[in-house]
Amino acid sequence: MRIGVFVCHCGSNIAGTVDVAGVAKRALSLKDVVHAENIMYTCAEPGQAAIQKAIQDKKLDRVIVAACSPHMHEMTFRRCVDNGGLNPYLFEMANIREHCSWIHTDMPVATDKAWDIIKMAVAKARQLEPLWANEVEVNKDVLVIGGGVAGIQAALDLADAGLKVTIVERETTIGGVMAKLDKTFPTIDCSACILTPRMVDCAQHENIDLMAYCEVDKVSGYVGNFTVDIRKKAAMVDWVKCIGCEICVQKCPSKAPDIFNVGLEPTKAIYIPFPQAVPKRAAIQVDYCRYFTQGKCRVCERVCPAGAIDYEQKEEIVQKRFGAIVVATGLDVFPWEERYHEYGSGKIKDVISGLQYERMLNASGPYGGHVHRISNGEDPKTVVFIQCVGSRDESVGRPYCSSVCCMYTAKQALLTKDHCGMDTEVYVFYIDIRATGKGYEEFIKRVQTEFGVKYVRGRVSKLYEENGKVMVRGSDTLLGEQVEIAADLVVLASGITSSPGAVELAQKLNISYDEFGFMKEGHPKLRPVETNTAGVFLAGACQAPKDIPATVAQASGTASKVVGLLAKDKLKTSPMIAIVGQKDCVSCWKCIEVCPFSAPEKLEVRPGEFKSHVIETVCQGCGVCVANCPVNCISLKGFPTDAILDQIEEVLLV
Amino acid sequence: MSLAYYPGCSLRHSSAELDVSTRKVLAALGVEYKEVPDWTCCGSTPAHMMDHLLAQALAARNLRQAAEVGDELLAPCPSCYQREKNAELEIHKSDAFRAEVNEVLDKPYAGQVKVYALPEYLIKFVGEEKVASLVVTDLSQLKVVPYYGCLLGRPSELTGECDNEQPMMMDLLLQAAGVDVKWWNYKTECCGASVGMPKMEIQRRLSGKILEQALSAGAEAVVVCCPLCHVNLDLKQAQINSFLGTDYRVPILYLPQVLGLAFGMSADDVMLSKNIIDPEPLVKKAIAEAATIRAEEERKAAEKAAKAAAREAKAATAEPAASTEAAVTVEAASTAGAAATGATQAPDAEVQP
Repeated sequence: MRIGVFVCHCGSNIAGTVDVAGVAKRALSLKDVVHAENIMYTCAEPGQAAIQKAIQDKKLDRVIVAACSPHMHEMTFRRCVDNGGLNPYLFEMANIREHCSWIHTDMPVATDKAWDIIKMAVAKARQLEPLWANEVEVNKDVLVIGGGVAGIQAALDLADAGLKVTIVERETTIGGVMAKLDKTFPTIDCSACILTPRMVDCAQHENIDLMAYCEVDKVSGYVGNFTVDIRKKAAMVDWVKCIGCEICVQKCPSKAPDIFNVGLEPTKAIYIPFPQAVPKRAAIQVDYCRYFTQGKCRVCERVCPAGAIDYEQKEEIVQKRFGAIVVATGLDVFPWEERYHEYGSGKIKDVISGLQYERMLNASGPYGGHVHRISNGEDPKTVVFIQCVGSRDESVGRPYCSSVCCMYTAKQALLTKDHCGMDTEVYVFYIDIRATGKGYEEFIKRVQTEFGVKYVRGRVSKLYEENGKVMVRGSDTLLGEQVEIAADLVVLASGITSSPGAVELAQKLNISYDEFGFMKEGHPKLRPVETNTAGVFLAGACQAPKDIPATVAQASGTASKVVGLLAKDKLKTSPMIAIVGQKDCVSCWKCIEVCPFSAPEKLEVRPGEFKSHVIETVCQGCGVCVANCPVNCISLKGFPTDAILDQIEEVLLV
Repeated sequence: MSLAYYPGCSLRHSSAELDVSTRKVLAALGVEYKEVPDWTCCGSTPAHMMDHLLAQALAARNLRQAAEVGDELLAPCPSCYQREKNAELEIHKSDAFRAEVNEVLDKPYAGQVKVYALPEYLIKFVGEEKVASLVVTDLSQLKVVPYYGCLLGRPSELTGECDNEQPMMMDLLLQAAGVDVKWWNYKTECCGASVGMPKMEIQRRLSGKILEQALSAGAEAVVVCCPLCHVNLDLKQAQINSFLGTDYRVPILYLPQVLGLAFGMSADDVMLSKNIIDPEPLVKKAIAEAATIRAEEERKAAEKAAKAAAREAKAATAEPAASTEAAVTVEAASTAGAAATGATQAPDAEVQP
């Protein structure tokens, strides 16, 4: 056996605390090590060339790089040794940066530890065997979960690239939050005008199958071969027959909460969310329908010219297969009524959320764009905006910045002046103004100077009613004074939270999510649209709060990643997976119990006799089954049990 | 479980009505308690502003005395509650601090007494159902807002009140007692507290605002727990009026006074005469209104029943005898209505001092 050890300086990242030249020299004393050197930047071209040269010159059959975390560069070096003529799985990485140099300051101590880590890597390398990747067939259809602007953008990009796309949307129409907005910052262009044509494109694209009023029920399989159960919810309306004429909505006698208009005014029990809905189809909210709650009515059935009403409709499950999945489930607005009791817990009528205000401003909203006081319908003379409600507030469990509220508040302040006249007093209470996008800072300045919106730096401590006004009590921290403003209307810039059900969906898809329910990207910088599950990608605010430009950019980025993945007819899978020694298997099925990916199955090895078998394409190589097998008959390729024991021995026996 | 009762200095004199009504309400609810033997100062404002250890030791002495008669300590005065709770948490958390305190005390405190405020104790250990079950006087026409002030809910680490911006315990107890509780967003605003002594205009302004908010919320009285809030809102209401040029006459009632009235106690029982703005006319008016409304409802119900009976009788038989039967029913119903009106006058009479 001929082992080569390459110790990286990583500039001063490692060499600052570890005597790299010393350890490299010492490595030559280890059994089987025939080559050792220290390199300034091993991952750079000269470093990789040095490794490949040594493989050739010294006939190395194992390579160890002592450098950073395998998360950082394991793939880089596997490719490097592969190109140098060595099986990539005969490479081993020793992490002497994250695990050593970065967390120590004392050079002799850090050097000793680095030496231990390298010794262990050498011990493991002796037990490594060459491995070869498997190939699997790839299904080229894509599932996009969520039909907001992120899902729409990703779906259109993918469909234009020639892939078949299915959009699953849980509401009766696509469009998401963007469809609810009035104008968009910083250009003040109409949100619907730029979104609805794209919604129509989705409906008409030959490569897109639009499944509205559906939810993802179950996901199984793996990259290139997902099987997804999609639940088609019962709209109680036959959507093949429905023509979206809205006669049923006009005639329906029952009122129901209007989710699309954020509860401003009720809608009908049978409803179409908004005039530009895609698909424009009616659905019945059965909890509010007179026929379903009281047993008689059937008005919609009588008036429907298409005979589309079907009270007997049942939900059904449709199974489909996909090669990749794009998660674009979007966001929800922070439920401020539950946490901001100082703002009246939702009981003061003229205190509304930012999204409600969007609907009030919107010409197709419940008030036809008439900005007014909810309490008495009068035009407001003084409007106060409060920023960071449910953002940057640890006391309500939301420490993060929602990233869009500064801008949408500025936009709403401008639109208030536009709708109610320039003589309207408009105040914005803020903590900091975060206007980092293109043209954003200029927009804020315009709102402040040209439109005369008064910005007050400070938080609002209390809202209460007095003489028909909403009293806003807060502090002006720049003047160091308490301020009290008698407002006609107060708009809370309610922050962004993850979409309801996001966590459950993440669990179905086996992807990570953070404590707030936002999906986790593969790497915050280098894998921003991937997840830690191969074949599942992210787009939009399901990953973190973001505005429309960032959402669209990420959706297109995701689409290009999916196209790249599905451009291949076959996919290579990692060979570092579990394998069952069936001779010793006692069929206890512990492995099936513990596997998070459902990789082990019961295989009939001879009639009536079942043994565990790991499906190669499903196994992710996590090793849980290996640790749980009571008879040690499962091993993980690339991590032989003997290698791990040797590593422990190496570090314990001095 | 055994309850020790700590009155504190305010309840001995200036707020005797809080002491008396609390004891009576506890008795009515079947809560047994013993007064802390030889209790002393809780370590309130002057002490804890000057010397932390001294303040905690003063409070700890009461905890030690309480431990002799109970496992829980009820301090109806929110200020006493804060001091005792503060000492409880710090001493029970740290043996080192307990040792420090014990060095100052004549006899060491080794116990684990838990301290409770009045609304907290009633919600946790008595419950709204029990409160509701004892209601005999209809106070549904008594329109009040509960005013919590600062000491019952803040800081939340101390009081355990999960939402100190919108506390609900007094709301729930008053609702259970059948009182018309109005919602307002001024439950925890400052009354001016002891600032009223050095800077009286601040207290006048802040307390005046509370009264104004209470009235605009549709309340006719404010219910409090804190003797200092009571002083600021009740005793100083005339000064507030002269300072602000207002003409408020808003009765300020203690929570146990209201509960006691609902339980059928008389004005004397809960010492209504001690309140400066006399609450009695309002309470009487509310009780009378409730009685009138109930009588009216009963009359309508009887009328309706009579009509229904008449219709039935008519449908059952076309004989003339039916009309006589209906007349009898109407008569019976009106007698019942009168009886009900009579019954509701009883609690009214009890309020007479």
